[in-house]
Amino acid sequence: MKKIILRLLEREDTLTTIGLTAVVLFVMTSWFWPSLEILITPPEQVSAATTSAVTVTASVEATISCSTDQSSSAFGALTSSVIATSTPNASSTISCANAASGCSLYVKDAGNAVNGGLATTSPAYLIRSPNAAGDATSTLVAGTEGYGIQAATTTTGTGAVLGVVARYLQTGNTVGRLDITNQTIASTTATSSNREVKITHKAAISSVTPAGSYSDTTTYECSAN
Amino acid sequence: MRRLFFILSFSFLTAAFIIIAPVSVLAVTVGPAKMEYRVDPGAVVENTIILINDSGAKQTLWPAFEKFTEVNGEKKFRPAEPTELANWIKLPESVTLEPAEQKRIPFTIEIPQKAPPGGHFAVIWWGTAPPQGPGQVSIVTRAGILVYLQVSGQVNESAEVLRFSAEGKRFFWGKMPESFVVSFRNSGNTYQKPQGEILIKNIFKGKIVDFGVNDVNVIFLPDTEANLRIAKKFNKPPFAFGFYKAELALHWGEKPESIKKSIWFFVFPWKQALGGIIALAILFFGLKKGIRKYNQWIIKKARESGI
Repeated sequence: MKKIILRLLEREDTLTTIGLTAVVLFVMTSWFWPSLEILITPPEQVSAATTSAVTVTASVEATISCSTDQSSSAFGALTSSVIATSTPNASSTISCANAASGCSLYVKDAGNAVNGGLATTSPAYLIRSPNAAGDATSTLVAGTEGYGIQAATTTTGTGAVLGVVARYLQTGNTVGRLDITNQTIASTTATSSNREVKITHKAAISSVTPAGSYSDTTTYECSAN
Repeated sequence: MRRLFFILSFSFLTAAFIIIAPVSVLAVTVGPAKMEYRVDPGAVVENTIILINDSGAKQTLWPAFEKFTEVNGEKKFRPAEPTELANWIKLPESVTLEPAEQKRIPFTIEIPQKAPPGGHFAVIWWGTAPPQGPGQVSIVTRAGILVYLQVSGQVNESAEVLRFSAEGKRFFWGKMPESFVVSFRNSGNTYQKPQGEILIKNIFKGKIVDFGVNDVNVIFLPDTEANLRIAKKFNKPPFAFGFYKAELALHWGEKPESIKKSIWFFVFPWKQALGGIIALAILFFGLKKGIRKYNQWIIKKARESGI
């Protein structure tokens, strides 16, 4: 017996066979492991008190909260030499409690009822948003007509964070277009509380922009996704 | 002196109140965020909604109805298009709330006998009238309740799963995938809320893990398609090696049967495998060298003892 073992150990291919067997055993164990794990995991224990029960029922409704800290914002007298920022900036806050699919903040403006922008009725004229071509975004230049908004989130609030859409996530003098139909500014994908978006309105006029009293109404709307 | 102290204290408190007091001009909470009804023609639905005035001033809120659709997964409200629901839903013309007051507002939905079967959708906005502020830009804020109503009759619940894949569409994985994508298309005439589960099984059909599909109740409007992302964060990721099958079972509408789709993928935990291979290599070559040395020693011993 001792001789047989010694002879076997002298052979190189015996060692290769041992190695291969170990690898095959490793692979087979890996395949079976998830099933084995289920078998060897003890069931969770639940303990229950045996006192008399009082049934308490309550329903939790999903709610949407929407607020804005300003009712108006003013550019003052616009001149063709500067890009104006209206003051104060508006801050919109949205909460979606128990709304698992999250919620969205939308914006739309009145414009001239055809296109978004700063409008005057006498004479009838529109400073189109964000520029004369009506692009999705535009970098405002002093002396060239344009108007739009920028949006940025803050760290205020809890829960799912608000993601601002690319159109309005702008800095400097680049603004996103305002439309007379709603556009998403920002949204969450789960419940959140008091998440905030800071809105900046910017405008520029040219030397041929007709004089007048320009105005716009922007509407911020919140709903569940 | 006492009078002066009182005046100073009062002034300080007033100033503190002005600084601390919230400046929200309009703050409104509405609920429920969504309402779903499946009704017969001629039925009357009675329910309530919640309105909360979150601002620091008395407010009168007006409801406004708008039809809505979805374009590329984004809701589009259509104020210019008429919505039948605006005529069917009976709400007070306005509601006045004191600061922080909450009211349950009863409403009814009266579905006409000749209501067209299928889905009807509207948002009920609650907001104040446009303010007449001094600025050039007036700001209005509204919060909306989404209404999904299905009228029974010739309802077409056609829908299909366009694609089912692991996130990233990969076949080879270094660990068990944590998210899947189900691309769903509703081609019927009513809304659908597809729900179901994804079961991951090994090659011996043993269940490894399951994912709930659309636990957040995403609703698909008619003629829309969108991706449902199904993700799971494992506290302890299951060890996986080899071929696995992900089986999707999805159901929607009134039909009880599920649509099933499946995909295969291969998991090779290369980090663990690399560690294992290195350990095996050390063991293998160490054993080989050790046995060789032992052989030499034992043969030497045997020769010395004259075997």
